[in-house]
Amino acid sequence: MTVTALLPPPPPRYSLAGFKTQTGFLLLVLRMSKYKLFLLRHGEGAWNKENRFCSWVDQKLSEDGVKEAQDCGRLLKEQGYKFDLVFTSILSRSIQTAWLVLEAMGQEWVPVVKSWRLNERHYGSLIGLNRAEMALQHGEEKVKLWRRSYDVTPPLIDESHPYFLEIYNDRRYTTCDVPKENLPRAESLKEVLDRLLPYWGSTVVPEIRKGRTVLISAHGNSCRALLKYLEGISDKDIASVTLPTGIPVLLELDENLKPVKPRQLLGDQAKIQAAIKKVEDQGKARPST
Amino acid sequence: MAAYKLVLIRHGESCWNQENRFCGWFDADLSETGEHEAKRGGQALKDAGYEFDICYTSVLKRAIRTLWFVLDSIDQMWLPVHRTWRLNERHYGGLTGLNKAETAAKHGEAQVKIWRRSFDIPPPSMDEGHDFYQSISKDRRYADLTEDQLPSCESLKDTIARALPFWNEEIVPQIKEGKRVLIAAHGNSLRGIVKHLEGMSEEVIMELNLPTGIPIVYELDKNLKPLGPMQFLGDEETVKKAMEAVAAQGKAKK
Repeated sequence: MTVTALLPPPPPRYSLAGFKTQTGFLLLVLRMSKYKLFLLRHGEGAWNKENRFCSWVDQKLSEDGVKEAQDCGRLLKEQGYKFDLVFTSILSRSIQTAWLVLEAMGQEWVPVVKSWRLNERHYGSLIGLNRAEMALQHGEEKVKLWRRSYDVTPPLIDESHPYFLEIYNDRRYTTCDVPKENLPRAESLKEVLDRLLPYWGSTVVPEIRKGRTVLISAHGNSCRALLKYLEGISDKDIASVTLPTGIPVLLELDENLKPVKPRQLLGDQAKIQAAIKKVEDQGKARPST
Repeated sequence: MAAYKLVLIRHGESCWNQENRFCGWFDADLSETGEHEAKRGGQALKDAGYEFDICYTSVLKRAIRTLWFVLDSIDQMWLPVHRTWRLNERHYGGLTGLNKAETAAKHGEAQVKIWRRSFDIPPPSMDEGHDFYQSISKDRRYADLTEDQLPSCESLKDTIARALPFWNEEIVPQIKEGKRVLIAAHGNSLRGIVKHLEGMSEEVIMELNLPTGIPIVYELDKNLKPLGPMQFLGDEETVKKAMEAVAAQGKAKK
């Protein structure tokens, strides 16, 4: 006999979680949703179209990427969400996405705070390389390892790299809270979380705790890193977590900032599935046309 | 030798400007022309190679979007941006939403002239029965304002009185730290800053209409006194037209 059958369904703000205690009893806990946090991975940039690792190169959104952001904003507006604060990286595509979302919602006045600590993962010397060509050169497995392992760092970028100066001469990297020479030259997903988490704790969490509805407009890997932390996803399992672009992810958190239910991808489910597939297909090797 | 440079930009045409309606705190969007003006202003700053460290704007979308167009043009979208109600346009109270003809019909030409010519006589209040009372006074963005701070109408004097504290307490310290500041705002809030910088009289500031969508540059000494008159950035023709329009204003008798 299951204990859950005896209880009425919890009201919408609550989520029922079950834990097996040491003596084998099923302990049921009502977790109350106290805070709403939204994560958004920006849409297509010019390089996403070419399937190149963009990373810290500062690309703006493509026309499709602009549409993705506008659609996202319209959806959030239809569903009646109201933001109090938006966090972005210092890469233009995440900022542009935030602006387009706020515009669609008529919430341009909402404060936007930017930090390098939400930047996309730094892909080191792989930056600028086409994923398909990389896979053909190094084999799908090696590329998969760099892309999807938790703690393997790709080879470091150095001065000989074609995009080195474009990145490190950019003035924005003199405005960070660490000196430029201490900024990453390549990152594993673990290293992304290592530089993101202090910002989460010192700057984002206090706002959430004030009851502010927060949107984090960022990148595939900075969003994944944060999800790993919030949802307690293992080092192994995070490899198979894919976030579709332009689809808002809603996390309902309890007073300890733990999710009370699985993350919700908002919007039309068929559209979401298509978006997930699109991202997954990018990882596969295809000869360049 | 200029210790500091300050750039101001007044947003361009809004949808309500097009209809000749008193806009004030109503959150009208830029018209297509206004968007074009903002992009042109951004291009002028890009051509002149301007770099900024920090930006300020109001909580009204026509100014915020103007700033966004500019930051996009100069590839500095990553700059910190601070939004404040204190840089909002003047609150036109009960006149909000009326077009100029309706206003004259409702209040009489003589009264309208008084409001337009006066530095410190406010228009009638926006009361609870007003069409836009809910959407403006009760808007979430003003939730943190005290009763004293939230206006129901403003004279130009009132507008300047609530803009200057922000200028003095927030913007000036940044300028003195050597930060290069860009302010995207409205005709009357920018008048407040200009009047203060240049030590203009009430009569003179009332006659000054800042050009729209054109970056206005001040070179300041270390005490934040302008070293010369405001300068406009843009192609030769745009700048010439703007300078002539400003010069002609003082002479026009309404």
